[in-house]
Amino acid sequence: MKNSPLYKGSLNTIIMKLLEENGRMYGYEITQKVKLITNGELSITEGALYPALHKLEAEGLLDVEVERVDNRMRKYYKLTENGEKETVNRLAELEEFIRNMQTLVNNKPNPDLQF
Amino acid sequence: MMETDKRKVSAEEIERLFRFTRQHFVEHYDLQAELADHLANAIEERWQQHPELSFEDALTAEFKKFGIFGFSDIVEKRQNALTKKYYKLLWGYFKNYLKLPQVFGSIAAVVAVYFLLGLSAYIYSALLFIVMVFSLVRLFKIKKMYHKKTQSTGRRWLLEDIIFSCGGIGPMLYLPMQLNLHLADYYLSEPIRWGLAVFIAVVVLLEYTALYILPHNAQKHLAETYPEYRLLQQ
Repeated sequence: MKNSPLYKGSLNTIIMKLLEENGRMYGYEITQKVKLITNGELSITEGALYPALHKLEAEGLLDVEVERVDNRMRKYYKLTENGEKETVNRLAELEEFIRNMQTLVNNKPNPDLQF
Repeated sequence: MMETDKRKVSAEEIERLFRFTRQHFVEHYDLQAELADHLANAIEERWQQHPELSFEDALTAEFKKFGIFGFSDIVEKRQNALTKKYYKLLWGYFKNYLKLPQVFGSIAAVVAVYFLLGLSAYIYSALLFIVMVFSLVRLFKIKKMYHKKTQSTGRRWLLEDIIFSCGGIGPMLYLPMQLNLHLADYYLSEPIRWGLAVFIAVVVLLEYTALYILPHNAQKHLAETYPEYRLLQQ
């Protein structure tokens, strides 16, 4: 992940969105997918990815499957039913955040946004 | 490039990756397996660009991506996540004592302790002492049993470690004793007696769950958490 805390705060949502689109994925695959989608602009570091996956798993938002691939075990993550619902919420929240930030940064008055 | 032309990490090299994670303080098999697969994928990807690279050089380059703390941050956060899961399991079992019909047993236990405390304030200390001795003996026994098991399988699983150390139940045993120091000399009024009765019942039920029920059901929870657990136990 880029060092900016702006990206770090969205890591869980990015992971959940990818799993929603791809069904099930393993850790390395997620890092590669993010690189591919963003043309290498954004890369999730291993040190940030696994703690995020493990936390989401412990919270019951992700489920795991293990398969033997080549000569090793591969751990796949997928969304649980709760995880699917939560993905919708978090994506809506993120989109709203982006909209509000754009409004603030562009300094256009928005009657919905009051301090 | 044809799929068959791709240089793959061999079984011996996978073993080396497991050893590598152990050397970098990843003690538990669940995380070792995940990191070994990650490193193997990354090394194979690197070989696509630089097929001449040795396994060790590719490994060193990939490990650097984990930053200066290596795997330690991942290990620490995994520990936190699974400890949280442990307490969720504990709470799940504890809630059963508040449901019908078990709740009658829980109420009966509270009432019994309340009447016992009416006999003498020292009963509180005596009850705690008995609970403490039983808990410590049981904790010692299950830890020994678990140690023997890990010695024979050579594998440790983080959640199993937490279950068999009872989520760090040690400090919990001292809490009621702290209260004991302040109470021993006082006359116990009605509300205090009820409060202490509830408190003792909660401590006993929590310890019973942590020391007996969770270790007894460990296999079930481990199989749910680690799909590979059952596979490797066979």
